[in-house]
Amino acid sequence: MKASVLLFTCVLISCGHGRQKVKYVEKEIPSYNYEVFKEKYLPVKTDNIRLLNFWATWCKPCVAELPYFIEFAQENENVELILVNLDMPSQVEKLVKPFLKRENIAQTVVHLNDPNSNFWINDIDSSWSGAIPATLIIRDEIKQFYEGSLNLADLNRIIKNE
Amino acid sequence: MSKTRTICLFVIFGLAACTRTQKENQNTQNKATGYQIGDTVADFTLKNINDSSISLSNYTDKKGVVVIFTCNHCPFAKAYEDRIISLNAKIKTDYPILAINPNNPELEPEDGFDEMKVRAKEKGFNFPYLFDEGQKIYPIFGATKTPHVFFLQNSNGSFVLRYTGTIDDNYQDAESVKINYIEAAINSIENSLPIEPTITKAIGCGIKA
Repeated sequence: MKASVLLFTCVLISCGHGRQKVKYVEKEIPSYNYEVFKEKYLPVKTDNIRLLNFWATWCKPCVAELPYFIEFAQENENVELILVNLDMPSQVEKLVKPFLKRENIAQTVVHLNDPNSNFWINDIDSSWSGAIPATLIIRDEIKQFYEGSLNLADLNRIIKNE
Repeated sequence: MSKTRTICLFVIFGLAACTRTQKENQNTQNKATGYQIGDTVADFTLKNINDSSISLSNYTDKKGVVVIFTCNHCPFAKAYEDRIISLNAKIKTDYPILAINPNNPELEPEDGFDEMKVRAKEKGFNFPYLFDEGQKIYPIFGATKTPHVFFLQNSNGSFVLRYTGTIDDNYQDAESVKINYIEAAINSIENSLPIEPTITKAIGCGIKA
């Protein structure tokens, strides 16, 4: 019994370990249609906790919650954050790249470029109306979906049961 | 009790806790709000950009009304402005478009009533552009974003929801549109055929209320 409590505590403590902050380096933002995006970023099963945040530069509540997601991912080594950008394709160079540079965002950013949103919104989660911000969490084989804003306390509660 | 057994129990408890929280969250999220297909829509009155008031009941001599929640600031709404203008020119005799801005200008200053007037003039809107003052009407419809369409059929003087969702199947490029869902719904009604699909989804800007 004691050993398992110890194991449990160790797991909890290891979750709290900080990750080194990384700086923005200019790079291409990969742009994929949904089929390729799904293959690359929506695994059926994950080892880490995969945190996918759907956002766009024009979406104020999305921009407001980004720092919470980044902080949460930096503080939790087992969390893999992927920022899924939904700006119009013409805006990726003009708005998204300068935004990432200005905000010093070094996390993985991928541009989901697929006009057939009537298919892929439901495929990501049937409860999603299509409004952003929206967040999908995949851990092991379990998927959790949230439409609307999340803050750091929400992320801690949802992902770490804190 | 063996060590392995205890560990197993811990894991099971942990999983059970996870599943429960997840279910609770989903329940709150999946709760259906707003009008469902086939529901009768209650009358409403809102202020138009020419400072007059417009009610849904003003349109009982029409075959239907296309209510579109839209706004000034949202790039997805902007991408559809020209398309809404040309669609209205085509269908307004029998199925006029009513645009409603559901956003709170305190949260989105670009979507203020005066700003609506300016935008409508700039673009030459050929349809009423109503302001959901106090953000009271959009939750009754269950609108979640802009643009968000509610296609209403006049059924003996009351308006029934027949289609909800997006305007067409390509938000990025008007030239590449294959299906205009509003026109498809109108065609189905005119030919006494069932509307298919009755619900579609698209990315949009969450309503700021």
